[in-house]
Amino acid sequence: MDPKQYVGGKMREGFIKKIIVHPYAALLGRIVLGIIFIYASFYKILHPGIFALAAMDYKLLPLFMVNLFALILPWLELFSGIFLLLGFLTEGSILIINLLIIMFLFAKGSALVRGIDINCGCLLPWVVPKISIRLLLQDLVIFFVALQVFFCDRKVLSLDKLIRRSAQSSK
Amino acid sequence: MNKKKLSEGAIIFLIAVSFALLTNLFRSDGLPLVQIKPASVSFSTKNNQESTVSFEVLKGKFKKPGIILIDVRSPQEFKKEHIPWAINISYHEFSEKLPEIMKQISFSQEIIVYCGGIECSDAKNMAFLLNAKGYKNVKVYKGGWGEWTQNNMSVEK
Repeated sequence: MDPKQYVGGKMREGFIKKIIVHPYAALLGRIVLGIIFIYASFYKILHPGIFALAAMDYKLLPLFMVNLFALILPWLELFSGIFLLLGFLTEGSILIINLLIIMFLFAKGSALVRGIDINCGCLLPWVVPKISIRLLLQDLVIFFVALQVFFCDRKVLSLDKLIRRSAQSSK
Repeated sequence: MNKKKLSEGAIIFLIAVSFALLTNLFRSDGLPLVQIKPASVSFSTKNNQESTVSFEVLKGKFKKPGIILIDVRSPQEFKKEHIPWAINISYHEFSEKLPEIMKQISFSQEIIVYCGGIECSDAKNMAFLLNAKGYKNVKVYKGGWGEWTQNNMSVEK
């Protein structure tokens, strides 16, 4: 291999890595994920019945759990989203968001594999996309952003940092 | 995974569960926590007010052009007998058939939905879903199939 090309390639790789692990990239990720999750929770909180029906369509949960799931999940999305935006309980929020995305990926992937032709029910009621590979890829992109925040967040502009600092200064 | 992440996650989970249960408790359209049969997934229409039509009104509007009559009972029940001119979109097929509905029915069209009778909630739920999707002129024929046949009205097979 041409040494110049090798060096160039390594530099590019290093540059991309630098961007990915940059604290401001994680901050941007936090903002994007926070907004998505807050937005996604609203209608489900207002109309849990409709969301329960959408959840039932997946045929993954036993019937007795559907309502509880439809009641709790939107609030989990809302609080994780708000806390992630504020940078409060950031590590817990991003953990929950990652787990939720894994669950969504599993649910949509299994619906695709089983050939169940349903709407995703994710951003009710304005967006009712059918479950498709494209939707799964969109979720994967969101998952990568969530992983980036999970591993690289340095709590820039966060309440966590502010609270820690004030606690340290009061000692 | 470190302890901090897990404990923070647990705190957020507890907050979410508390809010979910408390708000559900105080809502007029709260869901039963444990659901036993599919039909018990129910919710009220916008502002808890449902737009309904009586038997007489439906009879008057019967076969009028521009009115869409939707039978939300199961396809099997529909095939057996139904109100003439009705189309079948069973409640549980709603999400599946939604793109087709949106293509063929305009948002301003008058839609009347019905199910088995007064005791069934599927028509009300379907009306709510249609309303949420942007159909603003949706009404429920509360008496449903039961009342229609009791009045010896014509049926279609």
